[in-house]
Amino acid sequence: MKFIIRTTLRIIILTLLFTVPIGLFITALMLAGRDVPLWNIGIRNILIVSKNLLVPIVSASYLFSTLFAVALVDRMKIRSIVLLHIPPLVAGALIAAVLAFTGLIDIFDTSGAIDRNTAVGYRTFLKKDVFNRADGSMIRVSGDVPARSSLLLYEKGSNTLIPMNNISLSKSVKIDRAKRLLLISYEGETIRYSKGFPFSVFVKKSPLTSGRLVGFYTKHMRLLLRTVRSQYINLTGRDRMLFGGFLFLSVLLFSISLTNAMNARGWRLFGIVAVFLILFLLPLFYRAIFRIIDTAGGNPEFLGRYSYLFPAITAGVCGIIIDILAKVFGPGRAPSEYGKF
Amino acid sequence: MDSVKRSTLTFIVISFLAAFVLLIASFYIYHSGRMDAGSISVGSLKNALIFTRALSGSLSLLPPAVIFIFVICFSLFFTLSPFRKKPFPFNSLAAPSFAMLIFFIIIITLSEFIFIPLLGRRTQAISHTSLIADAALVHARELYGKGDHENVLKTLDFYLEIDEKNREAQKLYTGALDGLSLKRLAETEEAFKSDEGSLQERPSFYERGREEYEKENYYAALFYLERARSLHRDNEEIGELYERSRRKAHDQLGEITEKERETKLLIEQKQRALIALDSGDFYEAYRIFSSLRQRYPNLDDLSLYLATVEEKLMEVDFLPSELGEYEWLPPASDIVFIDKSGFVNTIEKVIPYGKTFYFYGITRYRAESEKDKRVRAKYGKWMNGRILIKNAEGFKEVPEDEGELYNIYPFVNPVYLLQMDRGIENRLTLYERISLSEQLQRSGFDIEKRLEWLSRKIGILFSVYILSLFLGGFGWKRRSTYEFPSVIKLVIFAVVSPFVVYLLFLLYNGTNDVFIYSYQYFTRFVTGKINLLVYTILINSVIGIFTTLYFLSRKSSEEERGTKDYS
Repeated sequence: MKFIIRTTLRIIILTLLFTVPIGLFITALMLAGRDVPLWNIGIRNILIVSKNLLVPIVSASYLFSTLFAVALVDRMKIRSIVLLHIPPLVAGALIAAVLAFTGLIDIFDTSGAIDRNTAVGYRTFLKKDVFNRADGSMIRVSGDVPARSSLLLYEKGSNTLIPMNNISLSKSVKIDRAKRLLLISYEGETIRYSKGFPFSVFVKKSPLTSGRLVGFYTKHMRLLLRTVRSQYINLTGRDRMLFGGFLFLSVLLFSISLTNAMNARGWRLFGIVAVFLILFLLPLFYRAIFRIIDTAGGNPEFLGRYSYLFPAITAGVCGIIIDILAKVFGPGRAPSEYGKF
Repeated sequence: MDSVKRSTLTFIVISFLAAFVLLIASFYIYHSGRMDAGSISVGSLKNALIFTRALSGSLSLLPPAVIFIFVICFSLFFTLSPFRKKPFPFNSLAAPSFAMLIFFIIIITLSEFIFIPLLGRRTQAISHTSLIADAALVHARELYGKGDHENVLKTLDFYLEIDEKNREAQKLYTGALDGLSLKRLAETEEAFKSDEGSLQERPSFYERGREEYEKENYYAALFYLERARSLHRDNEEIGELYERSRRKAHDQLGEITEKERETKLLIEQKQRALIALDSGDFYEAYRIFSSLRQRYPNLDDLSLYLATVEEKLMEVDFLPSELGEYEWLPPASDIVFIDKSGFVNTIEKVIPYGKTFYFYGITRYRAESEKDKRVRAKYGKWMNGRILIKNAEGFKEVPEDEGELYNIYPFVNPVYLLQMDRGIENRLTLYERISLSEQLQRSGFDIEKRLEWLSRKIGILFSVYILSLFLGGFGWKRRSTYEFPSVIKLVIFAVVSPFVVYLLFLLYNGTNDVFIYSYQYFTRFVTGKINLLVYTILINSVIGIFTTLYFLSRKSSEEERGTKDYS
């Protein structure tokens, strides 16, 4: 009992602690995905985006904290592997209850998280008094009065300089993020726009939010979320809850089992390092399960009307198998300190 | 030094060297694989480029590498047999590790502020040299086809300086040399035939002038004596004969024919040009001499005077024909910048050559002007701290009131302007960052502010210090005390932990970016004005102090057990 309470508390405290950095990370990642530079928007906008992404942020923080707490547990002190799964469930239930009572948004509805209430305008993308780089063009905004500013558009290749004096930037410069265009209207009818304006050139490149590995991970994460979301939307009422609940439990079961299996006998730093590996592998593992089931002809019918639970059950079974293997091949007791050295 | 301290130092130094060599080797293989076969034709340049990139990449990954060394040493290496022979206090590990960490941070500081920017510049220089080599070979082939052997040799001098072993270049060079020798031989023979009688030594200008004077051909005498006088200005005898000839020529005014009138005009104009030349009015001298030479192309002295004037003018001006000579060199295109006079300047292409720069297709636009008034020029050259632009083919003095239009005074040397859109931020050393940041911003460069950049770099140094100590201490606390880990776990750890360390390093620097971002709110709502760099250092220092205390509070197994027989 003492172990359960202590571990539950540890998970909840860690969840609260990790919410801020993980929240910032997820917000930055989501904004970078939409080519919005985090550092160019005000703190109010960041908070709005973070609030809209609260459920994914808390979920990620909870999962990370759970695995971290499990990795920190001295494996020699675990009497039963089943016991190890209880504190995360208790902590998860408590956090979910808090989220539910506060009436926060649907877990999978993050589509408009950035666009909703986020004021992103020309100031987000165009730095004043410098030639802002853009593919094929350079744009310079100057002037102290926003209503009477100057804008210089330099088109490379043709070596053309287009000056636009005394314009109201808020009226003349529009950002169409959906079509990835920068629209500049000048002298009534003249509208200039860049061809496929690459917003990415304005975003400060960071290895945290760009790069091949991040791209690979976010791609699979996005595809997985799309698959899960489409299955979730096709269900109704209690089935939705069952699907979500089973999936949540399977994630816990599988990741906790794997973390426990990876938790080295005395070398607990390895267990912590393994948490990062598990977090990296988790979406790939689930995506593989969904793809294999899809390739094999969809969910089997032996589960009747609950066939949609098959992917979650498969992942859960994998977790149980890992638990059994860890029990069979894992350490029985602590060897002497200077044993094999 | 006791054995534990010695072992600690040995493990850290060997790990560092191994990690660095591994990084360089990995980057070398990576860049070798990525480089297209035809992208760089000169083998030595290709190798130099790959190695420079590998070195630069390794240095940029030095901070996470140092953190990783601390993680692996404290969690694994410091539990091996050399540290199990006799009991020791944690201090025996901490002191040498701490000293090494400071040493590594000094290396990283030098690398971030000096080595990486210089290597970046070197990489760019190698790529540019390769482009020059390719362009030189193509241009030499073209010239050879046209039979312009002299310019083939000039062009190949560029190439052979870069790659003297290229067979095609050597063949072209030998061919051009042979062609030129044959041409010169033919010219000499021709000259020998036409000038067969004049094999004896030609009399000097003075002697010929004297001869003409004695024959009473005073205008012809003046022609030769002017040359003699310009060569021997201190010779009184020549001066005297020159003056006497000038007076005699003047006395003959009443009797001159139409032809002699023309000669008189020539002498007068030449006189004016010579006065202008003496008084340093080179543009006037050039105007007169070039017009005279057009009328009298056979007068050698005019060509010589013109050459003298041109030589003087070349110090302050240039001839567009000079730009044609280097037009085949690889250019930098589409440059835009603001100069000290407030003009926005756009340039179609710029060719750097030696310490100078040639500009083609320049447009100047006054940003603050109401009307769209522009100045266009075909040519420009970087001379005496400004870009002189012009359209005319010859030398022409710019009127004083138009000087601002035809002289561009940039805030920085053109070498920086060429890199505007080519990642200049990564190629500026600490000194350049401090001294040029403001000028670059005023030129219109989208470059980070000096203090922001410094704060970010300081964040890298603090991240190495803090993460090395924290993860080192954490790794020590969670070290393997029971048994040596299995091979599979070691392999997984060796593969995953560098990525985890790199992720943590990025996260710390991301956090430092948050500190920098929070500065604007902090100064607005909490304090008044405070320097951004001081603000960042303060926050990082507080974290650093706590991390140091955490690290120093670690204990060895003996200290944990309470036995203190290690002394």
